[in-house]
Amino acid sequence: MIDDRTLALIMAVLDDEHSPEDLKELEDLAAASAEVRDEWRRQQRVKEATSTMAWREPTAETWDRYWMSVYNKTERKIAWLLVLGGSFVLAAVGLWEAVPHMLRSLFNDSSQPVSVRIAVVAILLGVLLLVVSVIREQLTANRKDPYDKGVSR
Amino acid sequence: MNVDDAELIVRAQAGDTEAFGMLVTRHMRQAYFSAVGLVGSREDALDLSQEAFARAFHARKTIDPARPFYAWYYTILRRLCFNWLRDRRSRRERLQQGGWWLEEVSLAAMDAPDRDLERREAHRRIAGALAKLPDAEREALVLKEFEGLKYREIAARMGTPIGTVMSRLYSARAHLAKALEEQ
Repeated sequence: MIDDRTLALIMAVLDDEHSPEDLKELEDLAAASAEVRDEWRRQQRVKEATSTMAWREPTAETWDRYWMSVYNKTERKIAWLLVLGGSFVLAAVGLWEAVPHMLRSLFNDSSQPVSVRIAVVAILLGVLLLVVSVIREQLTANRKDPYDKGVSR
Repeated sequence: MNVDDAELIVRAQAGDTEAFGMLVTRHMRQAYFSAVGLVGSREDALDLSQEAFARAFHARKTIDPARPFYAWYYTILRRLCFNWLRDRRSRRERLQQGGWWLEEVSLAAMDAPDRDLERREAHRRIAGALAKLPDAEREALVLKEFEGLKYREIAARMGTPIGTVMSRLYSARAHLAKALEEQ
Protein backbone atom coordinates (compact mmCIF):
# COMPACT_ATOMS: atom_id res chain seq x y z
CA MET A 1 0.00 0.00 0.00
CA ILE A 2 1.48 3.32 -1.11
CA ASP A 3 1.13 6.14 1.42
CA ASP A 4 -0.30 9.61 0.70
CA ARG A 5 3.11 11.28 0.86
CA THR A 6 4.47 9.03 -1.90
CA LEU A 7 1.40 9.58 -4.08
CA ALA A 8 1.76 13.35 -3.62
CA LEU A 9 5.44 13.07 -4.63
CA ILE A 10 4.52 11.14 -7.77
CA MET A 11 1.97 13.82 -8.71
CA ALA A 12 4.41 16.67 -8.03
CA VAL A 13 7.15 15.04 -10.11
CA LEU A 14 4.79 14.24 -13.00
CA ASP A 15 3.46 17.80 -13.05
CA ASP A 16 6.87 19.37 -12.67
CA GLU A 17 5.95 21.01 -9.39
CA HIS A 18 8.66 19.37 -7.31
CA SER A 19 11.86 20.46 -5.62
CA PRO A 20 15.18 18.61 -6.14
CA GLU A 21 14.66 17.11 -2.67
CA ASP A 22 11.22 15.79 -3.68
CA LEU A 23 12.69 14.07 -6.73
CA LYS A 24 15.51 12.53 -4.67
CA GLU A 25 13.01 11.32 -2.08
CA LEU A 26 10.81 9.72 -4.75
CA GLU A 27 13.78 8.11 -6.49
CA ASP A 28 14.90 6.61 -3.18
CA LEU A 29 11.40 5.31 -2.48
CA ALA A 30 11.17 3.83 -5.99
CA ALA A 31 14.56 2.18 -5.62
CA ALA A 32 13.39 0.52 -2.43
CA SER A 33 9.89 -0.53 -3.55
CA ALA A 34 8.67 -2.26 -6.71
CA GLU A 35 5.14 -1.11 -5.92
CA VAL A 36 6.20 2.54 -5.96
CA ARG A 37 8.15 2.01 -9.20
CA ASP A 38 5.12 0.39 -10.87
CA GLU A 39 2.75 3.12 -9.74
CA TRP A 40 5.11 5.86 -10.90
CA ARG A 41 5.42 4.17 -14.33
CA ARG A 42 1.64 3.69 -14.53
CA GLN A 43 1.01 7.36 -13.80
CA GLN A 44 3.71 8.41 -16.27
CA ARG A 45 1.91 6.49 -19.00
CA VAL A 46 -1.29 8.43 -18.34
CA LYS A 47 0.59 11.73 -18.25
CA GLU A 48 2.20 10.94 -21.60
CA ALA A 49 -1.18 10.16 -23.15
CA THR A 50 -2.95 13.27 -21.81
CA SER A 51 -0.05 15.55 -22.72
CA THR A 52 -0.55 14.68 -26.41
CA MET A 53 -4.22 15.63 -26.33
CA ALA A 54 -5.65 19.12 -26.77
CA TRP A 55 -8.97 20.93 -27.09
CA ARG A 56 -10.75 20.57 -30.38
CA GLU A 57 -11.17 24.05 -31.89
CA PRO A 58 -14.68 25.19 -32.82
CA THR A 59 -15.25 26.99 -36.11
CA ALA A 60 -14.16 30.60 -36.63
CA GLU A 61 -17.83 31.67 -36.89
CA THR A 62 -18.34 30.50 -33.32
CA TRP A 63 -15.95 33.20 -32.13
CA ASP A 64 -17.34 35.80 -34.55
CA ARG A 65 -20.83 35.37 -33.11
CA TYR A 66 -19.80 34.91 -29.50
CA TRP A 67 -20.01 38.49 -28.19
CA MET A 68 -23.26 39.17 -30.05
CA SER A 69 -24.83 36.13 -28.37
CA VAL A 70 -23.69 37.36 -24.95
CA TYR A 71 -25.08 40.81 -25.77
CA ASN A 72 -28.43 39.31 -26.82
CA LYS A 73 -28.63 37.26 -23.64
CA THR A 74 -27.89 40.35 -21.56
CA GLU A 75 -30.52 42.39 -23.39
CA ARG A 76 -33.13 39.63 -23.10
CA LYS A 77 -32.40 39.20 -19.42
CA ILE A 78 -33.17 42.89 -18.85
CA ALA A 79 -36.33 42.59 -20.98
CA TRP A 80 -37.52 39.57 -19.01
CA LEU A 81 -36.79 41.29 -15.72
CA LEU A 82 -38.92 44.27 -16.81
CA VAL A 83 -41.76 42.06 -18.04
CA LEU A 84 -41.73 39.84 -14.96
CA GLY A 85 -41.30 42.76 -12.56
CA GLY A 86 -44.23 44.65 -14.11
CA SER A 87 -46.40 41.54 -14.19
CA PHE A 88 -45.57 40.75 -10.58
CA VAL A 89 -46.54 44.25 -9.41
CA LEU A 90 -49.78 44.13 -11.42
CA ALA A 91 -50.66 40.68 -10.08
CA ALA A 92 -49.87 41.73 -6.51
CA VAL A 93 -52.04 44.86 -6.78
CA GLY A 94 -54.84 42.85 -8.40
CA LEU A 95 -54.77 40.20 -5.69
CA TRP A 96 -54.57 42.81 -2.96
CA GLU A 97 -57.75 44.39 -4.33
CA ALA A 98 -59.61 41.24 -5.37
CA VAL A 99 -58.95 38.72 -2.58
CA PRO A 100 -60.51 40.68 0.34
CA HIS A 101 -63.52 41.51 -1.86
CA MET A 102 -63.89 37.86 -2.90
CA LEU A 103 -63.57 36.64 0.70
CA ARG A 104 -66.10 39.20 1.97
CA SER A 105 -68.68 38.22 -0.62
CA LEU A 106 -68.00 34.51 -0.03
CA PHE A 107 -68.47 34.68 3.73
CA ASN A 108 -71.31 37.23 3.68
CA ASP A 109 -73.30 35.12 1.30
CA SER A 110 -75.08 32.62 3.54
CA SER A 111 -76.16 30.52 0.56
CA GLN A 112 -72.51 29.42 -0.01
CA PRO A 113 -71.88 25.95 1.44
CA VAL A 114 -69.19 25.61 4.14
CA SER A 115 -67.22 23.19 1.98
CA VAL A 116 -66.79 25.89 -0.73
CA ARG A 117 -65.62 28.40 1.88
CA ILE A 118 -63.09 25.94 3.27
CA ALA A 119 -61.89 25.05 -0.23
CA VAL A 120 -61.33 28.72 -1.18
CA VAL A 121 -59.37 29.38 2.03
CA ALA A 122 -57.30 26.20 1.44
CA ILE A 123 -56.46 27.26 -2.12
CA LEU A 124 -55.40 30.73 -1.00
CA LEU A 125 -53.21 29.30 1.78
CA GLY A 126 -51.73 26.76 -0.66
CA VAL A 127 -50.83 29.47 -3.20
CA LEU A 128 -49.25 31.57 -0.48
CA LEU A 129 -47.21 28.60 0.77
CA LEU A 130 -46.05 27.78 -2.78
CA VAL A 131 -44.89 31.35 -3.38
CA VAL A 132 -42.95 31.41 -0.09
CA SER A 133 -41.42 28.00 -0.82
CA VAL A 134 -40.30 28.92 -4.36
CA ILE A 135 -38.80 32.22 -3.21
CA ARG A 136 -36.93 30.48 -0.37
CA GLU A 137 -35.59 27.83 -2.74
CA GLN A 138 -34.40 30.45 -5.22
CA LEU A 139 -32.63 32.33 -2.46
CA THR A 140 -30.87 29.30 -0.98
CA ALA A 141 -30.55 26.47 -3.52
CA ASN A 142 -28.24 28.22 -6.00
CA ARG A 143 -25.81 29.15 -3.29
CA LYS A 144 -24.94 25.56 -2.53
CA ASP A 145 -21.69 24.27 -4.03
CA PRO A 146 -21.81 20.55 -4.80
CA TYR A 147 -18.15 20.31 -3.76
CA ASP A 148 -18.70 21.71 -0.29
CA LYS A 149 -19.49 18.29 1.08
CA GLY A 150 -16.46 16.45 2.38
CA VAL A 151 -13.95 19.11 1.50
CA SER A 152 -11.79 20.26 4.36
CA ARG A 153 -11.11 23.98 4.32
CA MET B 1 -4.56 49.67 -28.14
CA ASN B 2 -3.75 47.15 -25.46
CA VAL B 3 -5.89 47.92 -22.42
CA ASP B 4 -5.63 45.77 -19.31
CA ASP B 5 -8.57 43.95 -17.72
CA ALA B 6 -8.70 46.31 -14.73
CA GLU B 7 -9.30 49.34 -16.96
CA LEU B 8 -11.95 47.48 -18.97
CA ILE B 9 -13.70 46.46 -15.74
CA VAL B 10 -13.76 50.07 -14.50
CA ARG B 11 -15.15 51.22 -17.85
CA ALA B 12 -17.76 48.44 -17.87
CA GLN B 13 -18.79 49.39 -14.34
CA ALA B 14 -19.34 52.92 -15.59
CA GLY B 15 -21.75 51.57 -18.21
CA ASP B 16 -19.42 51.07 -21.18
CA THR B 17 -20.85 47.99 -22.90
CA GLU B 18 -18.09 48.01 -25.52
CA ALA B 19 -15.48 47.64 -22.76
CA PHE B 20 -17.32 44.62 -21.43
CA GLY B 21 -17.43 43.26 -24.97
CA MET B 22 -13.64 43.55 -25.13
CA LEU B 23 -13.39 41.60 -21.86
CA VAL B 24 -15.65 38.90 -23.31
CA THR B 25 -13.66 38.69 -26.53
CA ARG B 26 -10.42 38.44 -24.58
CA HIS B 27 -11.60 35.59 -22.34
CA MET B 28 -14.18 33.77 -24.50
CA ARG B 29 -11.86 30.98 -25.66
CA GLN B 30 -10.73 30.10 -22.16
CA ALA B 31 -14.33 30.35 -20.94
CA TYR B 32 -15.62 28.05 -23.65
CA PHE B 33 -12.90 25.45 -23.13
CA SER B 34 -13.38 25.55 -19.35
CA ALA B 35 -17.08 24.87 -19.88
CA VAL B 36 -16.40 22.09 -22.40
CA GLY B 37 -14.14 20.41 -19.85
CA LEU B 38 -16.87 20.59 -17.24
CA VAL B 39 -19.96 19.64 -19.27
CA GLY B 40 -18.50 17.84 -22.29
CA SER B 41 -20.91 19.21 -24.87
CA ARG B 42 -20.04 21.91 -27.43
CA GLU B 43 -23.47 23.54 -27.67
CA ASP B 44 -24.05 23.50 -23.93
CA ALA B 45 -20.54 24.79 -23.24
CA LEU B 46 -21.14 27.69 -25.62
CA ASP B 47 -24.49 28.49 -24.07
CA LEU B 48 -23.25 28.18 -20.47
CA SER B 49 -20.11 30.24 -21.03
CA GLN B 50 -22.18 32.98 -22.71
CA GLU B 51 -24.80 32.85 -19.96
CA ALA B 52 -22.01 33.22 -17.38
CA PHE B 53 -20.78 36.35 -19.19
CA ALA B 54 -24.34 37.72 -19.24
CA ARG B 55 -24.57 37.15 -15.47
CA ALA B 56 -21.13 38.67 -15.02
CA PHE B 57 -22.35 41.77 -16.88
CA HIS B 58 -25.30 42.16 -14.53
CA ALA B 59 -23.04 41.69 -11.50
CA ARG B 60 -20.20 43.85 -12.87
CA LYS B 61 -20.51 46.38 -10.05
CA THR B 62 -19.29 43.72 -7.63
CA ILE B 63 -16.05 42.97 -9.54
CA ASP B 64 -12.87 44.10 -7.84
CA PRO B 65 -10.73 45.55 -10.68
CA ALA B 66 -7.58 44.82 -8.66
CA ARG B 67 -8.21 41.07 -8.86
CA PRO B 68 -8.03 38.83 -11.94
CA PHE B 69 -11.26 39.01 -13.94
CA TYR B 70 -11.17 35.42 -15.18
CA ALA B 71 -10.88 33.92 -11.68
CA TRP B 72 -13.99 35.86 -10.67
CA TYR B 73 -15.81 34.90 -13.86
CA TYR B 74 -14.86 31.24 -13.40
CA THR B 75 -16.76 31.06 -10.09
CA ILE B 76 -19.95 32.03 -11.98
CA LEU B 77 -19.23 29.64 -14.84
CA ARG B 78 -18.38 26.75 -12.53
CA ARG B 79 -21.59 27.15 -10.55
CA LEU B 80 -23.67 27.30 -13.73
CA CYS B 81 -21.98 24.19 -15.13
CA PHE B 82 -22.41 22.15 -11.96
CA ASN B 83 -26.03 23.19 -11.67
CA TRP B 84 -26.48 22.16 -15.30
CA LEU B 85 -24.84 18.79 -14.66
CA ARG B 86 -26.95 18.25 -11.56
CA ASP B 87 -30.13 19.07 -13.46
CA ARG B 88 -29.42 16.82 -16.45
CA ARG B 89 -30.21 13.20 -15.83
CA SER B 90 -28.68 12.31 -19.16
CA ARG B 91 -25.37 14.01 -18.47
CA ARG B 92 -23.44 10.75 -18.43
CA GLU B 93 -24.74 9.86 -21.86
CA ARG B 94 -23.87 13.31 -23.18
CA LEU B 95 -20.39 13.17 -21.71
CA GLN B 96 -19.87 9.72 -23.09
CA GLN B 97 -20.52 10.78 -26.65
CA GLY B 98 -16.91 9.90 -27.34
CA GLY B 99 -14.72 12.68 -26.04
CA TRP B 100 -15.08 14.49 -29.39
CA TRP B 101 -14.01 17.63 -27.59
CA LEU B 102 -10.44 16.39 -27.42
CA GLU B 103 -8.08 15.84 -30.29
CA GLU B 104 -4.53 14.65 -30.71
CA VAL B 105 -1.84 17.27 -31.02
CA SER B 106 -0.06 17.32 -34.37
CA LEU B 107 3.14 15.63 -33.19
CA ALA B 108 1.23 12.35 -33.07
CA ALA B 109 1.09 12.42 -36.86
CA MET B 110 4.87 12.12 -37.02
CA ASP B 111 4.90 8.73 -35.30
CA ALA B 112 5.42 5.42 -37.00
CA PRO B 113 2.06 3.83 -38.07
CA ASP B 114 2.02 1.15 -35.34
CA ARG B 115 2.94 3.70 -32.67
CA ASP B 116 0.34 6.09 -34.05
CA LEU B 117 -2.34 3.40 -33.86
CA GLU B 118 -1.37 2.61 -30.30
CA ARG B 119 -1.55 6.28 -29.37
CA ARG B 120 -4.94 6.69 -31.00
CA GLU B 121 -6.28 3.75 -29.04
CA ALA B 122 -4.86 5.22 -25.83
CA HIS B 123 -6.53 8.56 -26.62
CA ARG B 124 -9.85 6.88 -27.29
CA ARG B 125 -9.69 5.13 -23.93
CA ILE B 126 -8.55 8.26 -22.12
CA ALA B 127 -11.38 10.34 -23.62
CA GLY B 128 -13.95 7.72 -22.62
CA ALA B 129 -12.57 7.42 -19.08
CA LEU B 130 -12.37 11.19 -18.70
CA ALA B 131 -16.06 11.47 -19.42
CA LYS B 132 -16.87 8.97 -16.67
CA LEU B 133 -14.80 10.67 -13.96
CA PRO B 134 -16.54 12.26 -10.98
CA ASP B 135 -17.04 15.99 -11.67
CA ALA B 136 -14.49 17.19 -9.11
CA GLU B 137 -11.78 14.87 -10.44
CA ARG B 138 -12.48 15.79 -14.05
CA GLU B 139 -12.34 19.49 -13.23
CA ALA B 140 -8.95 19.12 -11.49
CA LEU B 141 -7.53 17.09 -14.38
CA VAL B 142 -8.85 19.44 -17.06
CA LEU B 143 -7.46 22.49 -15.27
CA LYS B 144 -4.07 20.78 -14.97
CA GLU B 145 -3.72 19.02 -18.31
CA PHE B 146 -5.65 21.19 -20.72
CA GLU B 147 -5.46 24.63 -19.14
CA GLY B 148 -1.94 24.14 -17.82
CA LEU B 149 -2.57 25.67 -14.40
CA LYS B 150 -0.29 25.23 -11.38
CA TYR B 151 -1.59 23.45 -8.27
CA ARG B 152 -2.03 26.70 -6.36
CA GLU B 153 -4.04 28.19 -9.24
CA ILE B 154 -6.26 25.10 -9.45
CA ALA B 155 -6.76 25.23 -5.68
CA ALA B 156 -7.84 28.87 -5.94
CA ARG B 157 -10.22 28.12 -8.82
CA MET B 158 -11.79 25.15 -7.06
CA GLY B 159 -11.75 26.68 -3.58
CA THR B 160 -9.94 23.69 -2.10
CA PRO B 161 -6.56 23.12 -0.43
CA ILE B 162 -3.62 22.08 -2.67
CA GLY B 163 -3.57 18.67 -0.99
CA THR B 164 -7.15 18.06 -2.13
CA VAL B 165 -6.23 19.08 -5.69
CA MET B 166 -3.34 16.60 -5.69
CA SER B 167 -5.44 13.77 -4.32
CA ARG B 168 -8.17 14.46 -6.92
CA LEU B 169 -5.54 14.47 -9.65
CA TYR B 170 -4.13 11.19 -8.40
CA SER B 171 -7.55 9.63 -8.23
CA ALA B 172 -8.45 10.88 -11.73
CA ARG B 173 -5.21 9.56 -13.21
CA ALA B 174 -5.66 6.23 -11.44
CA HIS B 175 -9.05 5.92 -13.18
CA LEU B 176 -7.46 6.77 -16.53
CA ALA B 177 -4.62 4.32 -15.93
CA LYS B 178 -7.15 1.59 -15.27
CA ALA B 179 -8.91 2.43 -18.54
CA LEU B 180 -5.60 2.20 -20.41
CA GLU B 181 -4.87 -1.20 -18.91
CA GLU B 182 -8.28 -2.69 -19.69
CA GLN B 183 -8.30 -5.04 -22.66
